[in-house]
Amino acid sequence: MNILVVIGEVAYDGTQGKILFLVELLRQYGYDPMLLCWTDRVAQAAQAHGFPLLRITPQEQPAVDAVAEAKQVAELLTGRIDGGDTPSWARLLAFDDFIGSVQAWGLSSLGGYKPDVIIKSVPGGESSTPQDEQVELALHRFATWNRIPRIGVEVQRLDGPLSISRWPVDVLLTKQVYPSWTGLSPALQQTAQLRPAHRHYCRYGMDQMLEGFLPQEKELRERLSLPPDKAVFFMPFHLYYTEECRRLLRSAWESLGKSRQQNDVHLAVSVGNGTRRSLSERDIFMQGCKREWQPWGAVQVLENADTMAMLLLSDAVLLPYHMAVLEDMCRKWEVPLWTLQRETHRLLPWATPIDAIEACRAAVQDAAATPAERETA
Amino acid sequence: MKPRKLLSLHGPAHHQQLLMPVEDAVRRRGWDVFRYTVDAEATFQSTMPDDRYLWLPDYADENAAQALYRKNAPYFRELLLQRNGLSLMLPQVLDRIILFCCREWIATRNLLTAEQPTAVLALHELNRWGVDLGYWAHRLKIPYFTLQEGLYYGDPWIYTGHTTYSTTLCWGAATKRILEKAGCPPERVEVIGHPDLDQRVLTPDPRGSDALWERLPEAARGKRLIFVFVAHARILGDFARAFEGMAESDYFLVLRPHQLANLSELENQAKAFDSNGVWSHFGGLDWPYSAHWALMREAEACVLIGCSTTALEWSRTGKPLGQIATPLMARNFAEDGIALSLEGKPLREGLDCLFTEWTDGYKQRQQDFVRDEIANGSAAELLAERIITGSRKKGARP
Repeated sequence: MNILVVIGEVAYDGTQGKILFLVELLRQYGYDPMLLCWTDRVAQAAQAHGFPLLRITPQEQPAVDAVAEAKQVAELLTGRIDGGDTPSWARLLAFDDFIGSVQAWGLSSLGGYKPDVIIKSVPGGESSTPQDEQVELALHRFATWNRIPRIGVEVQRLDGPLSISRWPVDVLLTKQVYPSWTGLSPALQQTAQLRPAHRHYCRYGMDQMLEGFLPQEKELRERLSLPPDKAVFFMPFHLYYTEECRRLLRSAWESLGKSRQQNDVHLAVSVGNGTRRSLSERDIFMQGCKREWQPWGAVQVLENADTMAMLLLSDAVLLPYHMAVLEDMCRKWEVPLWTLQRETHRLLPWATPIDAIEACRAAVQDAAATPAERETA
Repeated sequence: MKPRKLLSLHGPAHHQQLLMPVEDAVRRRGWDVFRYTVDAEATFQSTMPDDRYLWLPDYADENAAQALYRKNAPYFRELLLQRNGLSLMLPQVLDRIILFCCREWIATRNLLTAEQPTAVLALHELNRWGVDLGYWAHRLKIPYFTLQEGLYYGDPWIYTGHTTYSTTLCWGAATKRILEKAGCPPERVEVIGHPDLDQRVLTPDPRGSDALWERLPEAARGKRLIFVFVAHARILGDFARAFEGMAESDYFLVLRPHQLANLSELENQAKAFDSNGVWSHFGGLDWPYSAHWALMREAEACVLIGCSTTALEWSRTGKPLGQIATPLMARNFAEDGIALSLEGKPLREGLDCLFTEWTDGYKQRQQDFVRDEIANGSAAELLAERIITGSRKKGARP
């Protein structure tokens, strides 16, 4: 599968270059992404990482008959004239504003490279550069006209007053849950929140622990047998607090509500070396909290797990007692934290860029399938 | 009796110039005149003639505008995911314009409701502000007049809808033909004339001359002034080679860009001339109009690079007009026989030819061209009179 990752100037600067980790992550999971860029700085950084690179140079725009294009746009928008108080969009948009904004430079081909999926940052209406805008528009046309699915990644904030322009993507991966996502396009089937650690790729600011962790994420996940495609809920168990653990597991499961249908959850519990009579902490948890963990489907018990590593690999933490370090780090890395005092969180489905690619792959296969094949499927 | 009130929509500076003589004439007839302008990234209000203007965003209602935006957003989201011409426009730009359309739509209604003008005036109703004004003026039964903004040489389709809500008062028969070809009803297009072209290019103005010579270097004195008008700043550098050798000539070129030229683009292009040692001067975008018109009066010839209303303004002076064609030029005045083509030779040589080959044939065609385009070169009073007579009965078609 050909995955084109587009890195513009704004996305690169807005993340201090960390957006390149995204390419690294895809490589960890066995994909072979191609990086598309148009500035020296991004190209040099990509080469330093050894990423395959497709370099383009936005050109002077070719001559285009803007009036002919405007005629078509006017026809397209004429349906908006309803004689009521709705603006006549054909008149408002298809004349001066359209003709004055036409940008015809396009990506007719990418040097023979045919992407199956495009991953790009979503412009949030903040500052941009003329070159970024030129490529953004050319890519928009290229992807729309060639029906290539787009995965949009949030770098700039997406809750400004402009909502139309952030939707020409098929899957949107956000850094945060916004209080209101009104008017989602029916064509945009999936909006998901990036995993807490992955949000760091899309942020300004450096964090040594995260940057050290991200390149070895896959290896760590495999070593701890944590499924990469499930939302991991991590709970550090302590036998002093068995009753609190039970209450927390019960209330978290209830408060997850709809979210637990949207997310395939995986419960991971760490236990220590403590014993009571003949029972180990593992036994105490498995037997003492059985009624509470059973609804979660299954539980993975980890002995003496590294708490910080678990935190980085988790999508949410259940904390049945006070633990200042963990609480502080949850706040810092924005990992949702369930405690007995605060039991509800508003959650979107979690997703990794890998999940998004797989969703796109399924969509592409579905679109390519004949009706009979779809029926069989 | 309630005072009569004309509300006029002002856009870029070179358009304001066409409205102001008519506003003055209306004011002399006892009317109040209120100007308003709109938010176009500060470009319009920064060139308003004074601070006494109404500001459209002051009449905005953000909640209503957001509601209108949300109502229309799903439709545009779907369009963005389909293959159509809108994809020639950056989605963020499209989005921003849609939001502005919603704000201005509501604000224009509020402006007219609050100010209750007797009549409204604009240069045309083809941009979004003109459409807004026309629609709400129609709904509120306020007569709406539009004036001509320049030579109409584009594709006739551009002018469709020019008289949806307004009566347009144009300069000459040529424009009337074009508007009718674009589907405008003949009774809504009236030929009256240009407000003040004769005053601009024919009437001496010592203050304008002073303003011009204050801006020209000493080296220009004693030389033959040539007015070079550039329709698009971004192509200017392409012609730098043609300008070589001018320093040793008797000519002094004054290059003037179109008013809407991009300043940084212009400065970039001007570098090509500096390195060629061309003896010329860039008349900046900050020149007052009085200096611009003085240059038209005092220059001996005009070289037009591209296509512009300047061809008509210059033709009114009757002096030689040269033309250098550019790509995608909508009208070629050399092909029409009213300008001499200066292509294919150095400009110095071309200018010599322009003076020697500017025959009576050119002069006659130029006069015919002006007569067809401008019925009257000093029609501000007539235009004002027409607006007033057309506004006597509220709600009537003007």
